[in-house]
Amino acid sequence: MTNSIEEIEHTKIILVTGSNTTENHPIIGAAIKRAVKHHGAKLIVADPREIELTEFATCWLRQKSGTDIAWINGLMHIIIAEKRYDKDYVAKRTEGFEEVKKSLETFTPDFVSKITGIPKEDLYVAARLYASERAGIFYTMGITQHSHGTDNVKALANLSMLCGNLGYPGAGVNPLRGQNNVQGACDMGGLPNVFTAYQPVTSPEARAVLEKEWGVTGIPDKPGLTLMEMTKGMAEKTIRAAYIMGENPVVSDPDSEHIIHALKEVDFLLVQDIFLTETARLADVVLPGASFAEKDGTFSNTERRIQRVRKAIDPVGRSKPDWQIISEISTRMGVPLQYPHAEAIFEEIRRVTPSYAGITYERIEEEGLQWPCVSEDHPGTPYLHKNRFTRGLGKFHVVPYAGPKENPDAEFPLILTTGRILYHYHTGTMTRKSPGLTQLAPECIMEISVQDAKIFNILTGDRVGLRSRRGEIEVRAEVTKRIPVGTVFIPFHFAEAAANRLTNTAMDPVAKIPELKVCSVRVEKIG
Amino acid sequence: MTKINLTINRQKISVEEGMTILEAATGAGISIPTLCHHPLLKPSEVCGICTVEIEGEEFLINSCATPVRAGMNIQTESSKVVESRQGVLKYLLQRQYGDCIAPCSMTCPAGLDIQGYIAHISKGEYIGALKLIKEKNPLPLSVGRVCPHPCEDACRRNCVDEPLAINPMKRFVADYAQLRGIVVKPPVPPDSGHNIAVIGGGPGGLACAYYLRLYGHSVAIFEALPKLGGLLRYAIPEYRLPKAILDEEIQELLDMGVDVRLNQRLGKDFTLAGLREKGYEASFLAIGSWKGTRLGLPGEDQPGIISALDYLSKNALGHPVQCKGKVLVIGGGNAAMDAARTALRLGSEKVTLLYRRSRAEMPAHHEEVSATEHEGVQFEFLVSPTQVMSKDGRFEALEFIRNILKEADGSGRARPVPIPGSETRMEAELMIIAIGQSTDLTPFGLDPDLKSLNMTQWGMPMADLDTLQSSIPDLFVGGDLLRGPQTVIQAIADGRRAAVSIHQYLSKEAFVPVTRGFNISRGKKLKDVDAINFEGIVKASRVSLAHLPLPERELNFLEVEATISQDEALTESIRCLSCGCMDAFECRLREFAKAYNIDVSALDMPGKRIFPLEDKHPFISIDPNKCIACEQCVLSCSTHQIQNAFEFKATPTHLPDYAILPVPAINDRCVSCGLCVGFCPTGALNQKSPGLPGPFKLEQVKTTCGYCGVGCQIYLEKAEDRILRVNGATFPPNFGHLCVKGRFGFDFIQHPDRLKQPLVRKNGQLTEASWDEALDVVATRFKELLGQHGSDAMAVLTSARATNEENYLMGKFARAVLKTNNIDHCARL
Repeated sequence: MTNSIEEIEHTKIILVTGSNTTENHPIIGAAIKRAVKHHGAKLIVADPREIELTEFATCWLRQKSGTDIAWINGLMHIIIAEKRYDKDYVAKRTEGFEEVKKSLETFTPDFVSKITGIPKEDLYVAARLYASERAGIFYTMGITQHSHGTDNVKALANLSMLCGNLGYPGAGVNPLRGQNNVQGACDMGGLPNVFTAYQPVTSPEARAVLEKEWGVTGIPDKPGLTLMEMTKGMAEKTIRAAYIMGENPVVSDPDSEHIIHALKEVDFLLVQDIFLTETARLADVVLPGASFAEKDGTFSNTERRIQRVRKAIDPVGRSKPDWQIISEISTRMGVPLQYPHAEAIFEEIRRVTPSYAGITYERIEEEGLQWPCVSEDHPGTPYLHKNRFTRGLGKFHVVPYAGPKENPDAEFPLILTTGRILYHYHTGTMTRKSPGLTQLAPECIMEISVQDAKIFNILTGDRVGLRSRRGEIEVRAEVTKRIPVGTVFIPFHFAEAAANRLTNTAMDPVAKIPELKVCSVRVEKIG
Repeated sequence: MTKINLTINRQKISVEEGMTILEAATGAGISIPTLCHHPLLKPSEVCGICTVEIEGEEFLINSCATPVRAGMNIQTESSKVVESRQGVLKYLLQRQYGDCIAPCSMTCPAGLDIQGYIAHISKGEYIGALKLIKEKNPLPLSVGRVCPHPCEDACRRNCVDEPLAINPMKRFVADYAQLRGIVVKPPVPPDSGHNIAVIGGGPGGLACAYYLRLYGHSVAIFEALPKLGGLLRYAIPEYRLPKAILDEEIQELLDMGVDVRLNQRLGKDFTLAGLREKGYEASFLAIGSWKGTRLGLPGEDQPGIISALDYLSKNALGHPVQCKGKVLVIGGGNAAMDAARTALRLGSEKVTLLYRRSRAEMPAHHEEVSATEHEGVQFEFLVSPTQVMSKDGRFEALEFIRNILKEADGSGRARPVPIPGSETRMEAELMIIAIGQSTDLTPFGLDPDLKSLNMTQWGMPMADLDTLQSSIPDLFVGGDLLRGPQTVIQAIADGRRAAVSIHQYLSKEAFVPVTRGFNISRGKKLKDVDAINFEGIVKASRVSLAHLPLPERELNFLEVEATISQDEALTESIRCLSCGCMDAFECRLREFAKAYNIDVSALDMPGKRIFPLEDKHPFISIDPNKCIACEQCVLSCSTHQIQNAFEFKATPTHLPDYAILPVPAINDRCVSCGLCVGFCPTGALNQKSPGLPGPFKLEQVKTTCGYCGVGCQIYLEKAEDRILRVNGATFPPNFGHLCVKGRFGFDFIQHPDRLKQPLVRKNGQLTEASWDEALDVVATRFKELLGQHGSDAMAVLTSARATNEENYLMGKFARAVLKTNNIDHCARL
């Protein structure tokens, strides 16, 4: 996030898109609701589904799944046409505007309305509202999990810069991170192209610092493979050994059949987890990790806040904190990566991670600090890009329209979109262990519109077969007006009805993120 | 921000303008009670307990909603304020229906947290149960064998079927630890520099020494007899309490660093003045009641007549009074039973026990009476001794008269009235008198200090019954010496009470005596408890205790009663009805009721359940009978979570005035964020807990939630090593707010399905392996494949669930050990 969660409640204009915030980030969802109810904020929601926040929205744009570039560019088209943009900001703090302005000429309300299905009037309302005051944009996977996810984000960044909405409290572009430490995993260089603090692996300087700190030579300088490329490599036998820690790709990744096949192909698969997950079942060796309640360390949240994780209970059974396991493996391989405690690792992190350099366990004992925090007297950074963008000038990117890779046809006439629900989390390995949560959400429920339900002769409670070009699952139907005509929604928490047996592996070319939010399916009532 | 000056309780403070009086006072360390206010919410001004007095204002005002003004002079505890708060509390308490603390614990002289330790047992947390027991009772091995367990008589399960076997469960956990060599010993802090003398090494003295050590004070026990244990050793026969067990339990206690001086008799071998000279700054006097009460008949001092205490202690000292012939035991208490059963074991031909009332009035515990009868002791009820007969200077026979019972006397028991002409003579070789005990006051005549001690009108030492301090400030008195013959657990309770008082005395703190806290009850007597409380409870019979078969008891002192098994303890524990309120340790209403000295007996309470319990919600149970209509639930839901899932329903109008308060209810808009439960100041809203819920005093560990990327600050709250609850911490980014997963979805942490052991695939199957074996396989295979296919053939998935430290280390592993950048995680999923 460019901004802090605390700022949301006092943000005047809030644009939420591709985020069912009250279910997936309930604390932020409630803050948005309070902003509207108590502080007079105006809320714009852009989402095909009638999520809870639409009740609170001044304006709800109900776009067709996968057509986000069109409506975002469309809003900019109106804002520019009506000269509502922040000319001063654009002139002083950005570059590339003229080119983008030109590229937006074709995104007329008529054109956009035709692609997205959003009524023209709504586009005007939303555009004028967004341009009226300091505005914050909040999005999640509904924006990114597309074959053009990077472009979606670029388009939102364009919109934000256009109205001078970056570099102020509450105003910015805010991806809400889905997992407790996905921010930290990225910050720590858990990515194929960067080291800690996003220092490129291609940078000789960054490598030199690490080689010195680590006392090694020959840190590879070419970017490695992304997750989806790795599984392809496994299937093609170019990847021969894999070490998977705390991930369950068999359920979380698109096209499960393909993943299972790939994992079976590797010569040696090590999985480290707290449960015998669907992925762990395929492993050659499974090592028991300790849960977050059983170890010390830090997580970095979606607002870049580094916070302490503290051991509350002893590791269950013979499980061990993951860092100890990695340490023991490396030691047995002849490179002892040994530390007396988690804090010693953090001290090393500080030395090689400029944005974390000023953070110590002592400083975050009570309350976390937000990076960048470059020195021990630095107060942390509640919002980014104040006065100056990290790269200097904010860059406008031309974003041409692109739709989903797979579109409905006679054989697969419906769009399937996937996501999470309030009562479960990710692949369900944690939440489905709770009797209370299971009582509230016992099984995979498919939302289908009233009109489609009629066509396919489906009633609420019916068992339904859901089939895509890649696989088939069985779910229970709920007929609802929450979902638009032509689209069905299922959550991906349920391994026995794994959404990802159906989803498409089409990827965004830059971020390599799969298009989990749109694929084509057909439904059949069972029995 | 402008600062303004004001005065609270004569303390001048400077605070930011715009603050409320409540906030200003809290900031200055002055606590004002409130039941309906939370910093996250706007003041609702419903409870009216946070009122304060402001100079120049006619009426008290609500501090939660009144902003500070310059020059305000505020009194937060003036008599007017206190009176007002008492009025509010009385009004709010009037509708309450429940038990703060379960009747078992209320009945226990030492106030053991019985509901708590049974809940631990039900989860297999035997050591946790033992720890909880030892907070109030350091001698569970002994007490678990000898306690007359009034708790079981008070057990509400009596209203359903049979009481819980509370004492056998206590004995089970004590024995469980002892058999495994586990010693539950709380940490002893560094030496405080204070020395205390404990006079009397019985259960009271031992307990006092134990709890004094927990403050770090040095303790020496002065004991008149050759061994410690008091009546536990010298009056309770071996077959009830094997002395090897007592020895072990005492040694465990002494191992905490207690000095012992044996064969030291107060007044003879040492004096209080002498103790002071030696540097003892306080003493606890607990020398018990060792003198047998006499029949008051001529000739009762002859050979062949002995008091039960003498008889039992001689046996314990290894000099038994042998008598092969007939034995008479006079009395109906536990000592009489012990003496009679001991006589049988010592080979007496026939033992007859004579009691002046009928079986029903016997003060001995009914289990002891049955066991005594079962072993062959003859009972003569409704008889009173009238004459001691002797021959050759030795007891020969007793003449007694038969009684009939008339209406109750002062003791509440039926009064025996002799039947004229019914005199009967019974011959015997030995007569044991067990009609009571009193204190041997000899030391009080010998010790110069004790001579001046204030005594009661009955000639017993006097002390404050709460602090146990006597008229000599450094002398504290407790146990049977103070209260007359009582139970072992009462003596232990006094020992702890004295330790607390002595600590406060030495630290020059104000006395805050050990008390039970404010308590309401669903019925002091079992028959008073509304039957609706027991609806739907399935009958389940009480565990039956195994006993040594009769033939195996003959002429020996082997322990008669067996310890229940682990399975039996588990099965028995879940019979517990968990009567006590789940909010007992946290309820603010209870806290304030105590702080403002509300007299529960003066309240006009309903005495019956008015509103049905609501149990449909998966995580939250509602007991409207404990609601004070503070509206925290409604407000937190409607103004913070913005869910409007909580509503107050109007109550039926036929109810009496005091009951006309709205009833809280959850509707189907609820998203289970649990804010309402966290905010409820009483036990009206409770988080459900599988199995027996405790309550336990929870230990909090602040950490970061492991679900989504918001990173809510949470407290993991645990008892023993079990996480029982999660609460929001009032820090950014969530300021105390949580979602359903963060608050309630923690079962996975200690779920039985957790991986507990490394697994290695052998013959196609994942098989449990040692860490060494598994790690060797991993290292070998990685090295082989690295050698054969090179770094580019390696792939690492790090984890968005793991810590920064772990992700960093995984990156280092990939890049420095495997030499590959093939590292990724599911950031995109």
